[in-house]
Amino acid sequence: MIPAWSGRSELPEPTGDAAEAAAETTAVEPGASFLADAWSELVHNPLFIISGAIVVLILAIVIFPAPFAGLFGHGNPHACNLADSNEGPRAGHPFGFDVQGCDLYANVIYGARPTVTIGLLVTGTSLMIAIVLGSLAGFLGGAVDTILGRLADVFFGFPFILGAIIILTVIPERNVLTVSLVLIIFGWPVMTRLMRSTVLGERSKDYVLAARSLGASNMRILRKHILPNAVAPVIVYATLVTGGIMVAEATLTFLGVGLQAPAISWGLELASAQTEIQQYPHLLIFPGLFLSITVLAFVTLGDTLRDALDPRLR
Amino acid sequence: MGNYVVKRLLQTAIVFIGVTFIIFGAVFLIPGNPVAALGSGQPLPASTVHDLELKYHLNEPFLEQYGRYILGLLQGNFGTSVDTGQSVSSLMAQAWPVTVTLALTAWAIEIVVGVTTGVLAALRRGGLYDRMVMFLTILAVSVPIFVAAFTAQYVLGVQFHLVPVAGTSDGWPMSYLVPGLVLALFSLATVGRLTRASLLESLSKEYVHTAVAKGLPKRWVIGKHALRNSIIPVITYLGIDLGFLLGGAIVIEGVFNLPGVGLLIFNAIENKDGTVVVGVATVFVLVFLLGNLVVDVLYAVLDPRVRYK
Repeated sequence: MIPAWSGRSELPEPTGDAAEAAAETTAVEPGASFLADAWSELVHNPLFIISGAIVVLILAIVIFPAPFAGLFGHGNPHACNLADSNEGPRAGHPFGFDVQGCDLYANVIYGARPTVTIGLLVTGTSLMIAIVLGSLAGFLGGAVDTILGRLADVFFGFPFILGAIIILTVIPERNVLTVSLVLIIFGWPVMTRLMRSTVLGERSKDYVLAARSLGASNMRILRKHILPNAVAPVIVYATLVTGGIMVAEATLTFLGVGLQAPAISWGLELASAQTEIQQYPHLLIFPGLFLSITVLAFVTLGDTLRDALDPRLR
Repeated sequence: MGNYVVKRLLQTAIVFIGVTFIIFGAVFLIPGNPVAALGSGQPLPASTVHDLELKYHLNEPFLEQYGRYILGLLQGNFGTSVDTGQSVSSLMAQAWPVTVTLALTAWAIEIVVGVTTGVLAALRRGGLYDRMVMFLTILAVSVPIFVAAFTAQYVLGVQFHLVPVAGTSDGWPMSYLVPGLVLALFSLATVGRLTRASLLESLSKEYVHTAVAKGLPKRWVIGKHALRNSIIPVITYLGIDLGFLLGGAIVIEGVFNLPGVGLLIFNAIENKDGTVVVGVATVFVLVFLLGNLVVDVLYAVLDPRVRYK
C-alpha cells in the first residue's frame, strides 16, 4: 500500500483521463456535492459493488452466525466426535472435520466474529485517537506536537510483530479486548501522524485566516473549519488498514500470543492445523480461504473508496 | 547536513532508550520465574534458588536491573541465558546469520521483481498487464503471510518436491528461496505499486516531454530522465522495509523451521528466559532504528528540500 501519510508527492497528479472522468460525472449531475459525486462514481465501479457485497455478507455472518452455520444441518461448532478427527469433506459437512472432530464449516463461520470485531474495533478506536491527538498536534504545534511526535517515535521503533509479541506474552488473559488494546497501542501512531500532517497543511490556508479575522476561537476554527477539510485522508487510510489489522490478529493468534482456546477463530484453527497440514490440507484451505477473502474484500473496498474520495491519490 | 545528522542521531538515541525501557519492563513483568522454570515443574532447593537469583541479579529492584543491563550493553555484553547458561551473544551469533540471510534474500527478490513489475505496469498503463499487476498486488497484501507460507510449503515442498520442505540443511539458495519469496510477497506488491505510481508521475512532467520532443529514444527518456527521479521514494521504502522484513522473518522461521532469531525469541519466551528475549529484541530495535536513520540521511542527500526544512 502506498504510504499516503508521507506527504511526499510520490503519486501522479490527475492526468488527462482522470480529469475527463471527473468532468463527465459532474456533467451528469450538475452542482452535485463532493459526497454525491464520489457516490455516483462508486456505484458505477464493479469492484466497489463486489467487495461491498462481500463485506456486507461477512458482517451478516459476524452478527448472526447461527443461521449461516446451520445451512448444512450441522451448525454447532462445539458438537465434536473424535472418531471424525481430520476427516475430509462429506455430505452435510462440506469442509470436513478438524483435529478434534468438530465440523470445520461451522467453526469457520463462527471464526469470523473475533477477527472482524478486532479489525473494526482497532481501526475505529485508533481513528478516534488519531483525529483528536493528530489535530491537536498539528494545530497547536510546539510542546504538544514535540511530545506526541517523540511518543509516536518510540512505537515506531519496534518492528510491529515483535512489539506485539513481547507485550502480549505479559498479558495473563488474552481475549478480543486485550488483543485489540495491544494492536491499538501500535496502530495509533501512523494514523496520528497522517492526521497531523493534513491539519498542518490546512492550518495556513486562507479560509482559516478568514475565520480567525472574523474572531472565531481556536476550538471553533479547528472543529468547524479545519476538521471537515482534513479528515478525509485519515478515514481513507483507516478503511485501507482494516484488512491489515485482521491479518495481524490472525498472525499473532497463529503464533500463540493472540486469542486462546476455547475461543473460535481463524487464527486458532490454522494454528491447531499446523502440524497436520501435510496430511490434511483441507484444514489449511478453508479457514485460510475465508480469512484471505475477508481481508481482500476490506482492502479492495478501501481502495475503491480512496479512488472516489481522494482523486489526488489515484 | 551535519546538523541534520546530529539531530537525527540524538532522536534515535532517545527512542532507543524508550524502546529498551518498554521491552525490559514488559519482560520483567512476564509471569513466572526463570529460575523456577529451570526445575521443569519440580521445586528447587531454596539455597539453589537463592544462589541463582544472586548470580543473575534477579532479586534486585527493576530500575537497578535495567541500569545494569544498559551499562553492560554499552560494553557489548548482552548477559547470560538463565535457561542454558550460554552467553546471549553466542546464541545470537548462531541465529542472526540465518535471519539476515532470509531477510536479504527476500529483499533482493523484492527489489528485482518489484521494480521491474512496477516499471512495466507504468509503461502499459490501463492495459491488461497493468490491471493484472494491480489485482495481483492487492491479492498479495490480502493473503496472511503464514497462510501463504503454508501453501507454498505444501505445494512446492510436499507435493512437487521442488524445494526442501523445511530446515536449512540444503543451504543457500535452495533452503531460503521459498521462505524468502513468501516473506517478500507483501513488500513486493508495495514496491510494485509505488514504482508504478512514482514513474507515472515523472512521465507526466514537462522535462520528460522536453526530452521526448528533443527526439531522444524512448529507452533513454525512461531510463535516464524519468526513472532516476521516480526511484527516490522507492529507495526510501526499501530502506524502511528491511527492518520489517526482519520482523516478518519471525513468522516465516516458525513455518519453515529455520533456526534464526525468531525461533530463538519464541523458545526464550516459553522458557521465561528474559535476558535472551531482551537481548534479541534490543538488537532488532537497533537494526530497525539504524535502518530508518540511514534512510532519512540518504533521503536528505537525495532531496535537498528535506535538509533545509
